[in-house]
Amino acid sequence: MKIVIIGLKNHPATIKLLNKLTIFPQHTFYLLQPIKIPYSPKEIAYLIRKNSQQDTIGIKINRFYANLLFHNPGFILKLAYYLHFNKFNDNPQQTENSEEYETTDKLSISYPLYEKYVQNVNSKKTESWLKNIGPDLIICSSNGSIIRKNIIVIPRIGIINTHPGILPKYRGMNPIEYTILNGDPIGATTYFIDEGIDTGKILFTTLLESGKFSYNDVKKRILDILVDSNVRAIELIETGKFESSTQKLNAGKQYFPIDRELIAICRCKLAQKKID
Amino acid sequence: MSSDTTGGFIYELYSYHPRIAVLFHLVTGRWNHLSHIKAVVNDLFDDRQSIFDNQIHINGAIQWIFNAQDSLKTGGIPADYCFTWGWSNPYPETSGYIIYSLINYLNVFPESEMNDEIIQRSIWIGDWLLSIQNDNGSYYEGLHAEKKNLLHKNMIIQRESAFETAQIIAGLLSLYKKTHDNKYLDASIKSGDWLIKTQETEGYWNLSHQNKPRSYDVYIGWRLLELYQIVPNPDYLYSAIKVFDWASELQKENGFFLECSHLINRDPWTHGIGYTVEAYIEAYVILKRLNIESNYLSIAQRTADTLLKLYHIRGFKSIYYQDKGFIPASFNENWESKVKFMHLSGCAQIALCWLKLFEITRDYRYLNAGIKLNKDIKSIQNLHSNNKGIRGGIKGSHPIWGFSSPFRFTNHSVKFFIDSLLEESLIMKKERGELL
Repeated sequence: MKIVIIGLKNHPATIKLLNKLTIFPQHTFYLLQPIKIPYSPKEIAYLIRKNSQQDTIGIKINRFYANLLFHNPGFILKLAYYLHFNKFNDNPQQTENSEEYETTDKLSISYPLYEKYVQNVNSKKTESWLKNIGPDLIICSSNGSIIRKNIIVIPRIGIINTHPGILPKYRGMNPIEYTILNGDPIGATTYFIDEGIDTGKILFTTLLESGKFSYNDVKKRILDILVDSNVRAIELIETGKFESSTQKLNAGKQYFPIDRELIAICRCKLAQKKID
Repeated sequence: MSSDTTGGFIYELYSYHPRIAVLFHLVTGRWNHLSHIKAVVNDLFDDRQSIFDNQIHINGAIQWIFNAQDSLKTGGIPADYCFTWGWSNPYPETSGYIIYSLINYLNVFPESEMNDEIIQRSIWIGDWLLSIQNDNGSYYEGLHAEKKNLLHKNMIIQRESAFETAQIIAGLLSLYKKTHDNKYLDASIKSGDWLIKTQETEGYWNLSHQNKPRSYDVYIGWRLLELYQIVPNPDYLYSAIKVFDWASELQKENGFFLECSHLINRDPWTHGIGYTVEAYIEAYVILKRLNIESNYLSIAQRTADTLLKLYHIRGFKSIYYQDKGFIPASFNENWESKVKFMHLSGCAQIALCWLKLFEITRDYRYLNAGIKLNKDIKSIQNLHSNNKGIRGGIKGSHPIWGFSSPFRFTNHSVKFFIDSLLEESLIMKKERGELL
């Protein structure tokens, strides 16, 4: 099969996934890296201001430098920044309220990987690149954007995503945090992407094992689940032994980016969780 | 409805030519005050303030109310601090429901150093309100005729108003609960009885703004329910349910309330929408306490959920707000908006509604949105200005030239800002308390 991975090469989830894909020597893999930096001057000004209230002067200068570079319209400069600093996501909406994943893993693959950098995952350039390849399957590893119809229709089998929350109950942003706040079981759902937000047909759900974990532990374990689920999805699709079920959308809600105050409550809730 | 319901040519200006009202203030504003220029420049660059603990912001806002009260020395609270006329005449309606917020502060922060002063000043407002009550129990709409100022003369209407009378009941009842002084209860009953007499058979009041029934008149219903809890006269309950049921028919499937604007043929401000939603939430809570079933919660949620999505999807991009969610000052019945400024009182009211809904439903989306919107407003409050009319106050609109209340720091914005932060503080106390 021709499989396209959408994700940034320096994102821990993508590194882990690419390392694991070594077990599939029969497939051809492509890596589509969407370096999406859509900042407007206003957004950059906001970022600088926001960080200046919270961070040390060193971080301020670093951020200012980063913002200045990203503000520059040249894609080459953006790319250079990305490659040099190994920043995998600088979208303020994505990262301001969530912990960044950290990993010590390094990329170590034995198969040929064809890479492509794009600014927008839904652009016509991406579309024509994908059409040229004619992929059987696309796996979303670390992608901050919503994938639009023009891309969804390209792969023969579909686009697979693993959402760090139980669907259909927790759609949208920060599902782990909302799950902790509501005291529900934490897990991830692997599903086929459709035009909605986390509304596609579900392949399977994976629950986090029970135990007393800190907030950071939960995030790390969920990251492992996301990677393992993507690998399992490829295996299932390869063998053809999979069933997908349509979601009952009324059974869940769409969640939006969470505030730091609530993340603090999440941390406390997990710290005080009693194990049966 | 608060502050914009004024009279004379300025009233006409705000009602029919809001953009000209902005020009009027630009021309007549006292630009020799450095603080006025600073406020405009801040908004030109969208320069936000530091965010502190809720109590610091609330104390700043309450101090603004104290300064406003001291500017008149009669007890009433001026409607606003304006760059054109400074402190305005006192506004009975908002002075009334400011008492409600001040007394609520005592409940949330019982050990605050400001508490004694808050009680004294609340009584001062309450006694002033008793002194200006009409013999039939009603209150006049708009500003109270007190200052002899040409501009203010143009803003005074002597017309009985159901909506404004009801808001004063809220303050008087709060004072009665705190002081147990029957004069406040007697005045509330007098006003409540007048409201019942003047209610139309269908449930609305013709003696509302511009003599036209509005869906936000359910706010009168909420006050009648509060009165009913203390004085169980079934007429109050019946009258309240009538107005809630009447207004529920004005709600569209998408959650929008028709007839929710106090200006004729204009889209409603979020201020009016906030009034309506909050009243339905409170009515649901009170009726539940009385073991009366109602669908008021789902009515409130229908509108609140739509606003929640609009706030988060950032569909309404403003040149001033690309960083965070932005709630425009007004919407049409398809939830579309053409304005590029926020009505800060409306925003605070919406945050308050979300927080109240969280208390009922335990849906953390509401709490999350409420906290975030409150933070947005906190970052707009100036706690350091040398000008007492600006320091701690909340603008009518942001940026300040937005034509809902141009170049004015309004007392109802401050009131709802306090309410919303108090609600958030109470919830967060409980949330953290449960964890300890």
